[in-house]
Amino acid sequence: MTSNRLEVPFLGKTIKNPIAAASGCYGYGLEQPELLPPEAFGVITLKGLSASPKRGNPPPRIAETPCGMLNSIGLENVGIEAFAKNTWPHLRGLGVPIIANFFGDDETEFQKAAQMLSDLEGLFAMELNLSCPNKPQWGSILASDPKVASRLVRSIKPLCRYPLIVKLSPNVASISEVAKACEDSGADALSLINTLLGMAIDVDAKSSKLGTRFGGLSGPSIYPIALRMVSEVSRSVRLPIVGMGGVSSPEDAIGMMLAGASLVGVGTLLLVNPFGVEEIKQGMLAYLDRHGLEKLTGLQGRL
Amino acid sequence: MPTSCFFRTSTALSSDVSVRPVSSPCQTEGEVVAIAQAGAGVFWLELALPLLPMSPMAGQFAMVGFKDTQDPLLNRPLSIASFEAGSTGCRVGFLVAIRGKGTKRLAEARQGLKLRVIMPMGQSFLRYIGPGQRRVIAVAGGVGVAPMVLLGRQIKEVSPEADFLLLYGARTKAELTKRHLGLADGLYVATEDGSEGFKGRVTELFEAERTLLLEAGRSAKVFACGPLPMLYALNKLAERHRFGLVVSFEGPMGCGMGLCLGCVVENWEGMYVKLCQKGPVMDAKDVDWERLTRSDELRCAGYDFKPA
Repeated sequence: MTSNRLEVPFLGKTIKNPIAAASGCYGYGLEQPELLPPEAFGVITLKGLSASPKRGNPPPRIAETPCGMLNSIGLENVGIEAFAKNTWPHLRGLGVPIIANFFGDDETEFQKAAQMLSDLEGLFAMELNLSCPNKPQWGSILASDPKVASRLVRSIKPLCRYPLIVKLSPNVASISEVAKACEDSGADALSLINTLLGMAIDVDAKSSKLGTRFGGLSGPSIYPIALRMVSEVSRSVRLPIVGMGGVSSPEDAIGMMLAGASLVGVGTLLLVNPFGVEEIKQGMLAYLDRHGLEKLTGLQGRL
Repeated sequence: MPTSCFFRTSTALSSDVSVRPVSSPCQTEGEVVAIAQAGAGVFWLELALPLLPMSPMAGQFAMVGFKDTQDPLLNRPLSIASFEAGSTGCRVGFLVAIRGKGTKRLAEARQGLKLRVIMPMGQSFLRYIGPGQRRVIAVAGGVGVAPMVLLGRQIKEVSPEADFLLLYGARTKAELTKRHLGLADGLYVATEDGSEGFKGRVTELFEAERTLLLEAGRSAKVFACGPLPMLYALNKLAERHRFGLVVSFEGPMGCGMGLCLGCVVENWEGMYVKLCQKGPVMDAKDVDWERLTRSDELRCAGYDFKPA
């Protein structure tokens, strides 16, 4: 991209385009260097990392649903230590701002992960995953109770050497309340939405289509919900927002920005159509032309 | 759902990116140039593509999906059965069994429809063949014959002196698809009902002809692709008679690119590895077959497994 028309400001930095690889759909950024080059993105959010390695959930881990998919990967990851040793040295030099997503099974693990990531040189930001599939009950309290979320953010924030983005779960009564609690507790930005809790049943086998009972719904089918939540949160907080959930076209991405997002995350799209990132960027440029706009900055709204 | 099995591998965890894919796939558009019924519940799909930077090797697969709809959303992994490169473009052929929504809709595609194609992906059979290989015996069950067609054509390039034999089994004559695949020399057919060729399973045909097949001694290599019970039975024979066996697993995948971690299978250390990148072709010795047959995950994967 030679033009700088898609540049947007985010957390004090100029990002070359507003497209963010969403956590969990672009691995550690090095898996497909030619098919889906890291340089295509404005920022890359890495697959969720934890202080110790996680095995993940038993297969089947994916079930297709109408215009979407359920996953129950279970945050499988190599652990921050192995990541720092084997992967980070290759990622650092790419010139794309990297956001490390992290989680823990309890507060201590969250703190440990935050500390370990802060020891890395050259991260752009850290994204705290406010839900935990390994301990579903705690994860659900963490995601939905503003007081619990607030306490966690307060205990994590002082440990973070890099800006702290909090990723919100849509599986809550009021996402705005959780968003406000995170803002009051020191979060630097918010990202939303994570997947919606869902289920698929194989009626012949009379069992879940996943190895677990429930999974996280993603893909185009959740876009209207994501858009509504980004809109709601953007009116409740002053923090910059990474808007995501089912974005699969230039129109979806522009809609996210009009609803209040500073950056737009793409996840499931990457699994299906790696060309989609370039298509969105080209479509955004065409939109700017059509509307007589020079740059994307200023497009962000609060619809 | 993913073919679930237990593999021996040096990879610690499937998300360890220090293990890169063997080949870098590319995304392109494929136009349906031929589509025809190829047997009961199976069809032949041929796409015209622009020139690709690299040719697929037998055993590799393509992810094929719809550009004009988001339902079904995900691309489908299809084993590459034929590939021909011309001066301006290439043609790729698939043998597709109708299994669910995606393959059913693919079967209804008309000529001219443009599909999303990402290929080539995964490990191939060819890496298991050395220049001195004297004989390769391919054992295929059902649509498992697809990669063997390409293998038959490519094998001469890797090992010119090797002779290639194909044992091909299906339940009935109606399910055999050789008419569309140009199979002729060195073909041995088995049908379970005896409506064509040997009466019985392809593994039984193998056992009956074993002495003849393996006459070249232990240098004969056996490659297999088909339903899991067939691969299991063949592995029993491989252990008993000490011949080299390489298998290709069928299994649904989310992305096929190593990104989603949806197609994982367990290795010997109980860790998950990605079938799309470590497989689908693997050395049978790397598979813990006994654990495999006890796994509850087989039921989830849709296999009603009853070892013979």
